[in-house]
Amino acid sequence: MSRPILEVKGVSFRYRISRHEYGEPVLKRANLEITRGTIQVLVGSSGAGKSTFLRLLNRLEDPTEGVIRFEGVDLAKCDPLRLRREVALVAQEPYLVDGTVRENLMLPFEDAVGGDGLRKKAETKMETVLHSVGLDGGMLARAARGLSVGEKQRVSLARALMTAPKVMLLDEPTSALDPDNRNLLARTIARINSSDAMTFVVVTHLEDFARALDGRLFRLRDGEIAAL
Amino acid sequence: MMAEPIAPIGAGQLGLTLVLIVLVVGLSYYEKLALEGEYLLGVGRTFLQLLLVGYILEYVFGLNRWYLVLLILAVMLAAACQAGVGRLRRRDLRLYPMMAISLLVGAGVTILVVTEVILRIEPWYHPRYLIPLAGMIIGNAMNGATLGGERYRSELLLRSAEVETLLCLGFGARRAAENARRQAIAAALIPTLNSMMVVGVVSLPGMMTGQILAGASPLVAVRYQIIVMIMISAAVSFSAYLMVVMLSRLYFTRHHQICYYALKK
Repeated sequence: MSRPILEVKGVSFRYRISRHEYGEPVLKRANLEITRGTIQVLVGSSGAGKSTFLRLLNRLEDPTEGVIRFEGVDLAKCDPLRLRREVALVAQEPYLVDGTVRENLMLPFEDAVGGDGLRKKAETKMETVLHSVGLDGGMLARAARGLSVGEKQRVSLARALMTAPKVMLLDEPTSALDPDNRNLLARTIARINSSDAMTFVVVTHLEDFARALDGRLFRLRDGEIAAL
Repeated sequence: MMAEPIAPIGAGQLGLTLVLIVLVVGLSYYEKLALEGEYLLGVGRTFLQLLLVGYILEYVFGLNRWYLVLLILAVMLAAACQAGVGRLRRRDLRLYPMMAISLLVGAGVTILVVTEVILRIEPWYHPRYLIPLAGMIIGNAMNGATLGGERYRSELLLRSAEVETLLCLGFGARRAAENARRQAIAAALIPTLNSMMVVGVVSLPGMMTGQILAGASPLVAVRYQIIVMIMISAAVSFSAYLMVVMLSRLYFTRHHQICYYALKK
């Protein structure tokens, strides 16, 4: 078996409540190995620490104990800004900037080091990426403000896909979707996963959706992760 | 310039303000505002503090020593720093140096430009100019820093989804907090902008009123007032900007993570 793309070893986490004090543990010595190109599904009731777990994987938080490695490198030694482009996180509440869908998709290239060349390449990619999340190219000119919550969720997923991350972290991606759209999303994830060999870590409290994803299932309970 | 000397106010005349004080207390009693005690305390403090300051200034003006003037400015800055941090209502000692720097630089630069470049007062520490002008500048700088600082904190909480989304897209804390920072600095400037829009039309500013009462020509008084308005806007923007920029070090880690514990109470 190849080296895991993400490796969580003995990770504990407590939120800080002041400069020198920490709250109750959210994660207790959690372990998980994520193989490249797989779909990992983490289920658990709300408040179990699922979102926190994802936040640790792209360094929005740092573990209070233990180590997380991305491609063998300790996250504590990774540049968080570069890491977050490789390990993308799509939050539960989609946030789109004011403007068109096009502007949102181009947002990650705003300060692109590659300059115009990179931006041009990104522009040619927009329609394909929209298609991959089940939206058509006609969306590009629409105002982000006028989109439904479900569409916003898709656009924010598309925006994260624009930078072609190696790992995609999805936090409760079904929170605003009806059952039909949930199935559509499950198929979308499966398609991107198989075509781009992108690794997915999906967090959900819906067991049905978790099973529809056809990935490796884990449960987060009392701060511990166990395979299902 | 002094058309006629200002009419002095005797202790008896000051005592006659009692008429108005009694009326206010009567109103509070009649309408059950329960503000009599607080109001009388306020009146007492107004008398005590201002008379005390009057004596101190009289003494300092008389001695005319640069170190005394600087000492007074230092006391003003320290008091503004203490009051400013108090208004932010956070228990974090790191706020003191931040407030001190934003006042020292924001107010300091403005004081220097106004007294030494624009007015060119002689000697450079001329207390009759430096102390009242510095007082206005420091007071406004404190307002700017606290308004900006408090608004920055609440904007970051309000916009946490926006800030985190930008962080997740690989932007640094500075870019992620851009909108919050803009809102905070603008909010600090709004009271000053509003007063600049209506100055002289709706009311005459206190300093100008004072100069006119003291017998100065209105033409001289308005020139001073123009300088005062500009210097206030400068002090407010500089100190609000500095405070907001420094607060970013409190609200974000160097790994571009939000410190939620510092944003909440």
